[in-house]
Amino acid sequence: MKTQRRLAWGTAGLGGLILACSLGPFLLADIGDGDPLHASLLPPFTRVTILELTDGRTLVSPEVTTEGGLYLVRGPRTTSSIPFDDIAAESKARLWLGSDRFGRDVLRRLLEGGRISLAVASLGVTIALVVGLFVGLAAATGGRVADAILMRTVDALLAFPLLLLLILLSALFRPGPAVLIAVLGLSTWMGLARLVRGQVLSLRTRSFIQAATVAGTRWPRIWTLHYLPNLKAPVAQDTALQMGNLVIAEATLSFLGLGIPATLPSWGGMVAEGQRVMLDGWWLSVFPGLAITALVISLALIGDGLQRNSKASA
Amino acid sequence: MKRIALRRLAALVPLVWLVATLTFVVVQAAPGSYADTIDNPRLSPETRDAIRARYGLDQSAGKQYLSWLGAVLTGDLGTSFLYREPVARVISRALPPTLLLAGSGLLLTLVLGLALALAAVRNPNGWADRGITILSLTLYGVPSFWLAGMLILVFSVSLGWFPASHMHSVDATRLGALASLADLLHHLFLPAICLGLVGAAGTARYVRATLLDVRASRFMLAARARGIPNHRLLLVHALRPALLPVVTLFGLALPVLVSGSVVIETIFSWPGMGQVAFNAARARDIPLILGATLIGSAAVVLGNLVADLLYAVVDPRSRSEQ
Repeated sequence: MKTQRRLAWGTAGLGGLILACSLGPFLLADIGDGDPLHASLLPPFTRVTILELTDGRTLVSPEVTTEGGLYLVRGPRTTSSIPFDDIAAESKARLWLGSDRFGRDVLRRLLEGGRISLAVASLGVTIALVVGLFVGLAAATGGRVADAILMRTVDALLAFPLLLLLILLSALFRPGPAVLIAVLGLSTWMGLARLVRGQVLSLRTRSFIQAATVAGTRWPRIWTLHYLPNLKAPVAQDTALQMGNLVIAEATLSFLGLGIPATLPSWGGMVAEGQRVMLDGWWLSVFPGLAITALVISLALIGDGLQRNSKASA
Repeated sequence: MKRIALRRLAALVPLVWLVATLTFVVVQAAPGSYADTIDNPRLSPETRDAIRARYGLDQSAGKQYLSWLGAVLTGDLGTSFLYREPVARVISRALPPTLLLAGSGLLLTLVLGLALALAAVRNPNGWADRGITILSLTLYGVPSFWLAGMLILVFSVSLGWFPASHMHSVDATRLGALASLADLLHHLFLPAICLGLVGAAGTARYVRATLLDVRASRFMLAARARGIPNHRLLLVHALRPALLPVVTLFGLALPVLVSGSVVIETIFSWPGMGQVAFNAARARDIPLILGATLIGSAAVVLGNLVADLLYAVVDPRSRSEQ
């Protein structure tokens, strides 16, 4: 019962995050690229007025008043006065999580960064899944020589301190998102390969598979009917936990300035940026950190739930 | 036992060589070299070529590799481009701070993790268990770089209880031995707690699950039936088998002990191996990268070996199998 609840909470958390990141940016008021003059470092829940000018600029400020045919837009240091005629549209919005140094909406950046984090982690884990499954199966079924070569390679790669390897690779190659995904995926498949190989080798000695072999069942049928269903649970569990690790790894690399390029929003990068101005705006580093935590916890709950389920059914 | 240990030690050499060779290939495959990382627009192309020649970077990759390997076999790790001193000296200077920080982190991990797990299992699904489960799950999900920032914000900036960076105060050289030690511990506290909390979360989750499994086993029922008091049941009968996964975790933690936590060391400006490796990677300091990788991968392999040996000590069953 409790396992089901863990799985449910985890799935709800992950689903909620995915939904928020994919739909959220469309629902939020658009404050453009931000207004560094009038809207920098606003605390969470600030209500702002958005003025779209006829020349295409967007001004954002919590304090806008009118005075004798002029809009007075107040910022921390400057006050701009804009003639009525220059204003194309005026609207109000709330900055739920405040704004950053450049007057950008933190919540919007958080959600857009979440898309990237989710995409990088899920694509990376897909690569790890494919390579790990392939190598694990090849080692378990490909004969003694293939097994020895593949498993010694796995040993050697596991002998690399992982974070050091990731830092080395990203420092050397300065990856864009695509290369980052490849680097993350190609450096995390080894555990899964070991798991799959071990599972297949132990399944092979189980009586129901031996019975199927003796009964003359052809191998494609044995694989689809016996091996794969029994591999599903441990592989799914490992994948969920591994994806959590990848989220943390990507965030760590981005935090160190080696992951997602600074031109794109990313949770790790936002924490790093926020810590630089920690005294002026605690919200800048707090919320992206909480977002990473929520995502990793959701994935861990899913992993836990899958593990206990498979144990219960075994 | 002894023979197995010796054989595993012998296998360490080719494995570490393989890792170092792979590292060399990766570093060579990457675009650019140390000469390109020197950020000085007034450097003429000729000077860059001269720098390249001075560090032997103009030679072919094969030649560089062979001369490096030959030097390593005679115990010479080469000279760091970045620090302009022997790699061995850079590493031996960075290793003690890392050992101190990661060692205290590991100690906290084990102590906190076991304490939390035991407190949780005393009454499964009670309020303490629920609280600890939520706490350890949260800490498990928290990225360490963020936790470090929050700890600094609260305990250094707001409360001013602990220093936010470095290993010693500026005037540490004028302090007496005891005061200097106190100063070091004062600086050690935040980074060590940060490592310890994150590690303890994983350990507590793991040990709690194993303890619950062990509790359900028949020998525990038999022991309970013999009238053994609850705390003895938990601390003596259940804990020993539950320590097996902790031994594995300990083996996994050894590499961090030596290669350092890059993130924590960077945030707290702790002068250890993690920072050295980070700087080396960013500057393409090939000899230093290779030196750090050698140490790091040897630690991984040794850590696994130590874990296996400890396993045999803790679990008599695994001895007879080998």
